[in-house]
Amino acid sequence: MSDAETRDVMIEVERVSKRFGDLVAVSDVSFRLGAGVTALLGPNGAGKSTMLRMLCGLAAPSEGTVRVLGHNPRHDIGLRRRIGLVPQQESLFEHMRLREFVRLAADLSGIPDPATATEQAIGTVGLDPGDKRRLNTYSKGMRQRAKLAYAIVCAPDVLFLDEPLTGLDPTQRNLMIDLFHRIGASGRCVLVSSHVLDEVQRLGTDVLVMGKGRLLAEGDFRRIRDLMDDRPSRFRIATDAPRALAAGLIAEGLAVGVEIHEPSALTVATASAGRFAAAIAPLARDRRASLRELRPLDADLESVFRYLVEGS
Amino acid sequence: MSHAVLVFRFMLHKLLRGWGRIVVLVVLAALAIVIAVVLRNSAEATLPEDGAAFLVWFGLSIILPFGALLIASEAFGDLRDERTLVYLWLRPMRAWSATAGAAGAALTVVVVLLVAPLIVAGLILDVDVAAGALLAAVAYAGVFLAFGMILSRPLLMGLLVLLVWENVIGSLSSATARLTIRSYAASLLVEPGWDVGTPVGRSFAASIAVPLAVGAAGVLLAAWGWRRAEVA
Repeated sequence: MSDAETRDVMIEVERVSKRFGDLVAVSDVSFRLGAGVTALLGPNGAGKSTMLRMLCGLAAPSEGTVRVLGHNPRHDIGLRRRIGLVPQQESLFEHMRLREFVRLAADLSGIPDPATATEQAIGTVGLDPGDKRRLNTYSKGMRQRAKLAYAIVCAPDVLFLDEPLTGLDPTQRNLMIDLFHRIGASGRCVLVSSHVLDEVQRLGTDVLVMGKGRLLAEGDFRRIRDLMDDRPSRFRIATDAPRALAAGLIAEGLAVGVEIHEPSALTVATASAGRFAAAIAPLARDRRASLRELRPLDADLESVFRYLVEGS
Repeated sequence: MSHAVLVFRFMLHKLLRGWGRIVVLVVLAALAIVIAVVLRNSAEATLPEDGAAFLVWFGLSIILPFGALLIASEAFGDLRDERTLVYLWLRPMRAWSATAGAAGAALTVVVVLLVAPLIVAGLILDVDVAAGALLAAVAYAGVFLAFGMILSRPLLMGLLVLLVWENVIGSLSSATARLTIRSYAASLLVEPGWDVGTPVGRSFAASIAVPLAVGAAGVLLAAWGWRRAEVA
């Protein structure tokens, strides 16, 4: 039983599919989530956004059932006060100022003291409640934070975030990830979609992995990484001595395959990416090879998903 | 504050920020008044009959329906195009609140920008156009609000309806004219025996009830579309 199953179930998805004509966007997906932060991981086109839309009630499943906090999000209007969504699209109500935008959500949600809630939500995301500029002047990162303020102003029990870290600088990303964890730690359910592996690692260990509309894996993130480690990782190395370096890698047992691209590069397949990364610089020094570039070829999430999809 | 009022305020603010469309409507409305002044001072025009013909043709057949289309279809249509409808849809409010608020905002803009100038033009031409123009605005605003909610190309579809339905079909005979909003609105400002270039002669009660019913049906249709919307 996963961690999610041991907690109170806040989101319950049962055999859900979503079709748009002949296109199957989501196929027979089931999972349960409780409080805390869960990452919804998948490459572009995996069905993450469609899944989030169904969880919010913005789209109806073609088959299956979605329950959020025990209710049908498509039909239970009262539930919408307990749900927050940061949509993927950048667009906002461009003619409004930040405070007006967030206050609109507070007013429409019918929360007590909407003015204070508006100030707090804007402050929480690190923006200025007194900003007089209209939203159409905002940068991508500021737009992301404005959307987040809109979503959290009514203190939702369930928060859905669709690629919320896109466009944020590293400092802002850290702030946002800390915020997601704080919200999750307060007993709320936070589901964050992303196609960037590094982001997901920092969001926590609970993940749902989607690819081609299907749920490929769920549970602890480290298990997903283990799945990756079962396969050789490939690196491209630019160097002035590719043959010498290749010989050294094989001799040290760091490579299970080497392909030399004369005169100045090689591709290495290694069973242990961590050991390889630690050893490559000393090895290059010993072999008098200068390293000009070391680039992972399949550490990106697209490759991981290719593996998962091919194996499914 | 109720949801309908909140949406009304939001939509009014949004619609009034669409400068391009507002300028077009203001120019058309000003043109109606200018032409009314010219007609008033023309030795060839027979007032109020010619004035009524002008107001039915230019006011009720052109600027009012096309202006209402531009404004009312924009209310939800732009939100769908810009993919910002999600911010309203995901708040805990009933469909009728959202659509009633939006309809009220669209109607307010149409009344201020188009109906009021037509009333001024009517005063210049000794024609009481107020009731007809107001009821036509209600009907067109309701219909085109629904278009913006449920159709993917509301402007294009609205233009087709106005050109084919309201103008071509409505001009074929008195019987087919019963199917147009224009004939009911025009019937309220035409005296018996006047020729205003379009079939009229609807009863007073029908001239009031039909545009109101069409407007209400449009708002209900928009509410149905809101509930069933697959929001991006």
